[in-house]
Amino acid sequence: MIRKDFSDLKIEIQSNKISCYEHENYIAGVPPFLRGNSSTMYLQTPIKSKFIIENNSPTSGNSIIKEKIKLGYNAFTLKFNSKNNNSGILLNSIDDMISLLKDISLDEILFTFNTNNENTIPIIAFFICASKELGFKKELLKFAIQINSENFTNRNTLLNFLKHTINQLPNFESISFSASNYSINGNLQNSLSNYFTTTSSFIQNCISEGIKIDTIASKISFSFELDNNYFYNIAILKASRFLWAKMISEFQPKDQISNALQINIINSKSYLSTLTAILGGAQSIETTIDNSFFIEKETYITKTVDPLGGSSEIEKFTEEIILKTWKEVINKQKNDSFNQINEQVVISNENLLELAIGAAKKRIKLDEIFKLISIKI
Amino acid sequence: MSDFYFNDFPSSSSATWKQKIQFELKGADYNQTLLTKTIEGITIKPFYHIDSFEKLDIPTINSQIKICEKIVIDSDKEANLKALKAINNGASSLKFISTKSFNITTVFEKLINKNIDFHLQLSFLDEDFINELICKLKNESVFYNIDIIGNLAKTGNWFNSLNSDFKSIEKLIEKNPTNYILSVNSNTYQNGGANIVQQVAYSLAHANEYLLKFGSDVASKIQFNFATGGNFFFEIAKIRAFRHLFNLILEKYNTSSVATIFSEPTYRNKTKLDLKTNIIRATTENFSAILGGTNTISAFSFNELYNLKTELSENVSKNQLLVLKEKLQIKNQNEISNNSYFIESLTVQIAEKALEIFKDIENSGGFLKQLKEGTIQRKIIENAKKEQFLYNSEELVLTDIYKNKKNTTTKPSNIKNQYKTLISPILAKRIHQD
Repeated sequence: MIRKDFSDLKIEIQSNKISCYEHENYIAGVPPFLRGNSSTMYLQTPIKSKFIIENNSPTSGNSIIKEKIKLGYNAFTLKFNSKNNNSGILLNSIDDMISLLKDISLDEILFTFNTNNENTIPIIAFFICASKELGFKKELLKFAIQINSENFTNRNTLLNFLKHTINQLPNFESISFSASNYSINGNLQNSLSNYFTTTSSFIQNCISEGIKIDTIASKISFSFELDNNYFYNIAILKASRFLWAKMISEFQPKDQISNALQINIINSKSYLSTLTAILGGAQSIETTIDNSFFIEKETYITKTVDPLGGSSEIEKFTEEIILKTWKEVINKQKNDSFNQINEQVVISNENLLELAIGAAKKRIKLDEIFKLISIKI
Repeated sequence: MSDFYFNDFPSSSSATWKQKIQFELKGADYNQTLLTKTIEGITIKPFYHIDSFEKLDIPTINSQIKICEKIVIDSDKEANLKALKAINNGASSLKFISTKSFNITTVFEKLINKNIDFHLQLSFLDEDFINELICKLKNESVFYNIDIIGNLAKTGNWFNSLNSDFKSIEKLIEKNPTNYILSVNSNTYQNGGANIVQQVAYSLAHANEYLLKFGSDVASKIQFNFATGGNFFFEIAKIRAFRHLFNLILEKYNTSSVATIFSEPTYRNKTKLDLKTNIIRATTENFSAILGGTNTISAFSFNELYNLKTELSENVSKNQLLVLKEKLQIKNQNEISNNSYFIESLTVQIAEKALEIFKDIENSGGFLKQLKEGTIQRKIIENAKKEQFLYNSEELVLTDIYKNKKNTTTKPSNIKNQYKTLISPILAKRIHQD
């Protein structure tokens, strides 16, 4: 056969996108933040890896933290033992907290506390108190707390905490509400809509207590556990950012950033879930194996914002999740029993955290402090 | 209906996005801070938006992706046992690697009629043996992967001689027109240090030699063996760009075909320092290949690199297969890449650049001629040197090395061409030679 002449070959470029969804016209860095919270995402701010400390005594937890700091970690999730849960760090007193935190530059590390909801205030009290004894003022402390939004029973204590202390703890990062793992309960819309109705009513409570929407919105984040349905999970994260922006806009914030949902991926156990978290635009990831450095350095994935933006499959999922979840949020908000819960909130004028700190200083044990607070609610 | 949901926020454009970034950069240089130039000469922008959408038509496959385990035949019986084990662990495809003919009945015992794809990688060309294989495996899906030009590129020599090699293939094709006799082993170029654009161009030009010699009917009976590197989205776009261009050149032969592609993780970025990091690399690379729409993905054989003890080696390969199988839960893999602004844009750019190189090669007399003249080898070495320079100057990072930096030194490669060759061979070379 004679060699062909290919010199006239040309590729035909199409510029029309056939399947196109309305939400595809948004950009990152402005509401509704569907494509990402910042305009440059990981190009300028790498994802934060939070190393999980659990199943340790305070002393061994302390050595693991120090060891991981040497490897470059500056964020840790501390999982504490509680009544309903046998795993986690066993912590009963301020002295346990001191053992856990000693010889660490507490002002340089972000700690996220994960415990059952009612122990939150005593744990924060131990943390503030122990830090003070270790030489760090509470104004310098960076910390966050994780709350399970499915079983949200300590609304009053949290409101009390925010009302009295939000201005005294400038580096308090956030209350991270978790949505339940939908692969276990099987219904994503239910799980997501619970998250949005719970946080929305909580914000309403905060506003009633005189906290401004721009103060509280930026202090609430979203904890979510991924499963191996990777691309559906990416759509969940994108849809959640949109839904948050939509929900917050009803409170008419002045600062755009209030519309941006901070996403924390929890219990990440595999490399592929770190990859999914990054492809979905999460801010932080809780893990015991940090692969984000590998992803950043070797794969070029973080060199562009929302690299899978436009994907037929993911954008289809994204729209589907947005429409179904919002519908369910509206239904839940119309529901009477839901409104009743909202009205029942009455907040004690006493500063419960202060009370707990006072007790912690006197070496009172966690259980006792819990009782002390419970009476005051 | 959806208006109700989306009318709260105004739509926005690329121009606004860029303005916002520039405002936030507070005077820092946009190009220097946010543009990433790759070794292909393609620039990754900080964002891709629907208003600058561009794409190509990509022929895609709809069949389930196969997972392949490679088996080196030392002893026929052992190879057979390994194969049975691999199938048990979830492999749906097997690649037998052999330097000499083997007892076909022993090796394939209990393997046939199980809907398994078989691939052969033989470092010799023996027409009779191939005919015997074809006869004994006549109801199976088999890829013989005979690549006489690829063998010349890789070893520097023909299997037997130019005439005899081409004659053998001609006879094999004539006798067995429905079998996948031929392959284009593009992995040789990748592992030798060619960049993605070069790999696409060379694969096309390489295949074109076969089309020219054996006719357009072979177009749909060639398997393309690609090695997948670490640049996640570029590797996805590589497969797509190749499929587009292959069909484009087939227009000249008045035919069309969806290229059959076999993907394996590259050898180039692997190190001996950290098995775990290598597994993550291989995982990422296979993930890219899936999203690119390959036909077959393959476990990386760590044995070559590590001299693993049998037990550990088996565990590693078993785990790899499990992870790969789990990934195949992904439905509609083509639809995930399809219409992604970034992937589509990369596909266009890779295709444009590769087509130019392809045309140049054709203009100067074709791939075989350039291979004989040493042009292809020179271009690959140039790119490999560029990559090595980036690695040495720490712009290109292999993370396990980076973390263990104090304990390692890069030794110069001492692979020498020890046998006499017709042309200079394209040798596989790892970036970090440890």
